[in-house]
Amino acid sequence: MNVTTSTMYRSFLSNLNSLDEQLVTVNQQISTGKKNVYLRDSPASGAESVLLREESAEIDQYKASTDSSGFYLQAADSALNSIQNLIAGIQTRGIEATSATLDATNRDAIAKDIRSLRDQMLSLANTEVQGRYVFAGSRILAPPFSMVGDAVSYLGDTQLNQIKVSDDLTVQQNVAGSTALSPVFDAIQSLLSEIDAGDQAGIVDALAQLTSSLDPLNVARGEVGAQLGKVANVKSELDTEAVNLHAYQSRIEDVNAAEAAVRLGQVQTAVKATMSAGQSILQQQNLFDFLV
Amino acid sequence: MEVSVRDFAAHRAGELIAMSSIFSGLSIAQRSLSAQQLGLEITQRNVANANTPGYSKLRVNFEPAIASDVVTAQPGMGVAEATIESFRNNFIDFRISQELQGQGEQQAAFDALQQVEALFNDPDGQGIQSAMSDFFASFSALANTPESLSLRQQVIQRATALTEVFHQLYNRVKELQLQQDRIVSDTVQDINSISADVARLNAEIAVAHGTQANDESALRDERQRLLSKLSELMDISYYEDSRGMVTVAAKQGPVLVVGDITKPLELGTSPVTGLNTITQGGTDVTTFIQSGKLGGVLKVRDTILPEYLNSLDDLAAGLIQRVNAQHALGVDLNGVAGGNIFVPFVQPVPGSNTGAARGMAVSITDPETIAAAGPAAGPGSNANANLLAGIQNETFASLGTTPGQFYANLVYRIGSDGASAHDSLQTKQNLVQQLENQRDAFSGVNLDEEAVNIIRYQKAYQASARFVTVIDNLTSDLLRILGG
Repeated sequence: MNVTTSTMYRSFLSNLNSLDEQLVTVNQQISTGKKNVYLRDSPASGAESVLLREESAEIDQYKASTDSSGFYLQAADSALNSIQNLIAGIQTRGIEATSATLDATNRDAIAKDIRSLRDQMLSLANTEVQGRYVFAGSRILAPPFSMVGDAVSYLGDTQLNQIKVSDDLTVQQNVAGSTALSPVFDAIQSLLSEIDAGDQAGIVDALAQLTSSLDPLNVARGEVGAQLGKVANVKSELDTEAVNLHAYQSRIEDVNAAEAAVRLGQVQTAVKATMSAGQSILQQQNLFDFLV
Repeated sequence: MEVSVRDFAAHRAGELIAMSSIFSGLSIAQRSLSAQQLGLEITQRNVANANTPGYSKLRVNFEPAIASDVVTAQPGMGVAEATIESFRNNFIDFRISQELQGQGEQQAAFDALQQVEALFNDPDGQGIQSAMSDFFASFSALANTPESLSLRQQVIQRATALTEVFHQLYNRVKELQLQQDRIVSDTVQDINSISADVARLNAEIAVAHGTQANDESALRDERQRLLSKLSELMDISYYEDSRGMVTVAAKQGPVLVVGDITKPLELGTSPVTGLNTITQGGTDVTTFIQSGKLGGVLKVRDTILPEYLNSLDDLAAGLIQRVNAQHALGVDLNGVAGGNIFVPFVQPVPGSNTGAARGMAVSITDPETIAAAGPAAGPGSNANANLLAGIQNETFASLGTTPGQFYANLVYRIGSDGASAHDSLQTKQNLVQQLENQRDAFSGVNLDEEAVNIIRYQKAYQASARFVTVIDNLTSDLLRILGG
């Protein structure tokens, strides 16, 4: 092939251009830390990054939700715990009231104690955390339990909130007061009226009613405990998932700094070599230089 | 390699002389001197144009003069004819022009797609993906404490941010489309101006061709350069007539140059899109232009960018419809059924979502009216907030996929369109470069070769001059003998 001057210039320039392009790419990889400077460098990982970021945002939200659910569940748990303790006190006093040796004054004193414990219970049943009454179902803006005489009525509902804490796990955020607490209040009301009436057989019956009313309460407390356990587990799972996700994201998106540095060196060397080869083309002598 | 057209037959170094004599030797020498001189002149022209793009090198061909009486087989009469030959390979020139069309097309596509890519490449978490994630996350956050007014306010803010991102992205792509439209009108003007130059050169070449003028090769080089330039702009084809004029036409239709007449392309406005149309003599020829820069720009403007815009519209319309529908199923803080979160989108014509992204707007203003609760539930219920948040992972019937996946698919398509334009461009550039090297190997100037030619012509000139001296001596001797 007849090699002409313009052919030599053309291929020199084209080689130099393509090296310059590589140089720019490697430089941008190093300065941005991203493997793919342009979307076209890897459309598939570009699309995957979109989905990974969506996933990552979801995990962040799940984490926030576990914190929030945990907070309200803790509040419910501690209120239920105190309520159980108060009921134990009421039971003790109730058993004392079954004694045949008591007179009306003694019973009045017992009834007074029980009413005081019941009032504390009522206050706990209307526990309010950050503006929400935790045992009110969805009617969280008003106290769910109200009392007329010894009769305690429930004004909430039985709507329970599920909170999504991972792709396939939800946590039940609350328990309905009507399920957990209303039977207890009803039993206490019976107990008080029997004590007021001085009917010992009635008191025994009411105490039995109180004992059996503890079942739904225990179930509810167990439920709250189970949800709290779930929250704790999910939290550590989410942390692991987030770490894995970021590692994967980094594998897809981030440039290997050492490799990029080596690559930069390679391209720079190639540029230098091409330059010096180009110099010999640009300064190449032709026959005219030798004609005198 | 096939030697191309002989453009110039031209230079007569001398007349045939029938008789051999001592003076005929002088005639031979004289013809030889002027032939070598022509050789030097052509060599000089080649050297001067060694770096002129598209220059076809010239060679002087010497042909021996033939004695008048062929039968008696007298010795020859020296150099009789020196013709100038232009080393032009029309086949390669034509192939270069065809490949330049593809190169121009891919260059135009790549230039535009590069800009689109930058819009959708959001490593910093900007863009529609994060806006959608934020929007749906605001419902998840609300699900934790549905009565919270500040979290309700956050839903409205995130919804507004989502509409803004849609507007921004849509408008940027739209701006690119308008930019392509301006390139269309600029390119049409360039095409017309080059066509006019080709027509002018056609006329000059026809004259030079008829009179066998010396500058025909230069005119042809210039015309070929213009044809290459025109090919980069548009998919043209051309052929040469017997007078040396080329007829240039778009491959699919409109004729641009016939002889010395130009048929310019004109610009119109599409009543549908408001964008430029290309017409000729009142006929819309826009769709006939398939390649070259103009073809590439039209493809970007009319096919590729509208696809992206439609995808944004489909996504926006899907979100508006689905979010509003789900919101209506819940009740707000006051127990009232949910209204619209976004202003409902009405299709301009059935099946078209045009305008959904650009016009996306938030309808809800009062945070209390966000319907986070399930039907007939109190303000603490999060049933509907959960369902609204769950929309993110729903497969939309209108999209055939989840909104996030739909956007990821769009990003993939934009990336792979960019990648394929980039790859095709490089392939075309390499191809053109190889063809240009091939062309140069045949038509280009090699300085070493020219230097050798100079020496050759110089030596031949010196020898012929020496020959004249010898004949001069001979005739002097002869005259002295004859008693001068």
